[in-house]
Amino acid sequence: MRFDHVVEGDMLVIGSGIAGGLAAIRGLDAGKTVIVATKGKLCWSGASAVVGGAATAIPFPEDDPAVWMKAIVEVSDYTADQNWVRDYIENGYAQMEKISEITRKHGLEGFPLDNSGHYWRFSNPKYPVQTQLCNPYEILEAFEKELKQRGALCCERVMITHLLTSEGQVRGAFGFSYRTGESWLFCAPVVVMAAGGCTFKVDTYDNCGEPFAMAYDAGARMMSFDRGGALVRPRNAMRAGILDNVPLAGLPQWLGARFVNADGTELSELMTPEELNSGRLGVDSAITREAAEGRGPIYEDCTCLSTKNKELLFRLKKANCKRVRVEYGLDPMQVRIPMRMEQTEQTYVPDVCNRMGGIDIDIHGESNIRGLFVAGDASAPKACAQHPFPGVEIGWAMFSGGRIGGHAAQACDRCKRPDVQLCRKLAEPAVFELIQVLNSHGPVTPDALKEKVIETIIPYNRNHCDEEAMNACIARLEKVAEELLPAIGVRDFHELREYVEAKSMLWVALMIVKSEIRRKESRVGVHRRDYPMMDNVNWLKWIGFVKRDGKPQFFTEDIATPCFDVPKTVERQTRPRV
Amino acid sequence: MAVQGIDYEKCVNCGKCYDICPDDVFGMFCGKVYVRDPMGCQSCALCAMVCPSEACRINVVRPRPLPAGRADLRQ
Repeated sequence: MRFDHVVEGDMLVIGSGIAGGLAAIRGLDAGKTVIVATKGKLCWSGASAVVGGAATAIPFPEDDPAVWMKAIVEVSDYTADQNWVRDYIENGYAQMEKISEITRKHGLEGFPLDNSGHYWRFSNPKYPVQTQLCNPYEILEAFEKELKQRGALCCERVMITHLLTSEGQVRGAFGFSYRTGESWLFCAPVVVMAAGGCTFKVDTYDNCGEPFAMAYDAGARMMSFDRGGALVRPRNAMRAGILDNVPLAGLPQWLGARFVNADGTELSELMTPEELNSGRLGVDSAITREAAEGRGPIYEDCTCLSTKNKELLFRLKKANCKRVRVEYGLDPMQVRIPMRMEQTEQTYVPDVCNRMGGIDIDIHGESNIRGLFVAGDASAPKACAQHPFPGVEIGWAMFSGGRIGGHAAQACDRCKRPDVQLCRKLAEPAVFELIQVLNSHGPVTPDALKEKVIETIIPYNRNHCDEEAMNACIARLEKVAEELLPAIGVRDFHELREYVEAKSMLWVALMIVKSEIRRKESRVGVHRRDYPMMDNVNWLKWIGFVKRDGKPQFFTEDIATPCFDVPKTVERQTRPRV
Repeated sequence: MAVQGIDYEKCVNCGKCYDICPDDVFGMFCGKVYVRDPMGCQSCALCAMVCPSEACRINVVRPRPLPAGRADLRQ
């Protein structure tokens, strides 16, 4: 069998967003030969590339650790891994400083400073902890320069499809370039999987759960797919607000921007108490009413910002500012911009990022497959916070990339580089599987399969309220697998990439519902009519699964509480949703 | 539709949009960029961010609407 590229190294990092980029840099710091394989352009794909200026919630040394522990554990409905939360509190700031240092080295600013020269932190009356401003665009730009300057072996536009393992140890990975059809064989004794989660094309289109699917196929334990977390997103628009800003709760408003109706009245002054307590749904209810009663459109008004804040906002939301200039022919810093009505009408969608399930890891970030480490959204939600507490997901990417990247680099010392002939042999089944797909000429496109998964899982997401609804969703998804998968046809390597994504997305959707049906209570985003209480007596457990004889075998694991006592109650959830 | 197209009167053929797009929306032919897969556009606007001449036209409208779920103020 002939491979176009055979690349050997100490550490293979799959994914190059905030988590993967920092993990790779940690490997370089430790003197390892680091390979970075990424589906898009180096550092510019996945969730990190699209988030723009945002809040990140990382504990500072002067903060009270007990307040952070309580905040994260409580808002996760006690599902956070307290050992990881403690690590996050103790070591998150150091990773943030490392990122800051790398961005400054390249003349950039990953964490903007306020007027007194400190990291810009914000308080929100909803949470007891502060969040701080970060600029992912400048972090990624710095990471890109750092990785190239320091000699990481960067393999762009390569779709990794299979992990290579033998005797319980990772040996590398196989992938292909979807632009050229070239095959790539990676041989490394340590792999950091940092290629994100699964968004079901709600936010990013390129996070489709392939890391989960390939790790599961390789024998990794998977955990916490039963979180049922839901986000509210516009049905007809990709972005909320003008500058990707959630009205009343977003970055432009922290800097002084306003949402006003045609009369210039602040939107928040026009909202009922119920709307003010209902997050995005409440905001859109108010926007729709103002428009229907003739006081629309609603404008996003950044004209009132100070000159300094305008410059900062432009840097933080550069992509959307430039898009608006072309789309409207108007500069959002000079004139107020009307919101499109497509940005109302919300729908509930499955949760994404670090809050959904993932590959299970131990306290060093290693999975049950030796040498396979996991960082960022691909990992099980260890130090997760649920909505409406934003910022911990980016915080986890930063913290886990650095911390777990460091552990992975150390692991290189105990793992021998695999024999290339062994890797060639291990890659053969992967090649045969993909050749079968390339050879198939069925009538169903991968795009059609993705749409079928989305049209099944999204309406379910707010209706997973009893056993009957869950079983009905499982049956529909299994029917999709049975009828559509065998009828797939791909015409080129672009569609082969989409096929791998579609198949992974379908599998993730099934694992979510099959995990949720096993939780006989309500917790996090799963609100069951047949089990309406949150049962901390019998159900303070995680639900996981692992592949046995070709099928998922489910198990539960008690949630340890070494740092924060969980009340032994059986009661309805009281945490605000969305 | 998210990606509207490329204004060839403004385009300077730098290829930066093709280079950065996470969703492989663009293709390249004879050194010129074209929109290969408009349905794959996620409106991230990275193409608009890197374009030196404002030739890349996109908006935030989804290529296909998401399915409706029950979304109202009552939980």
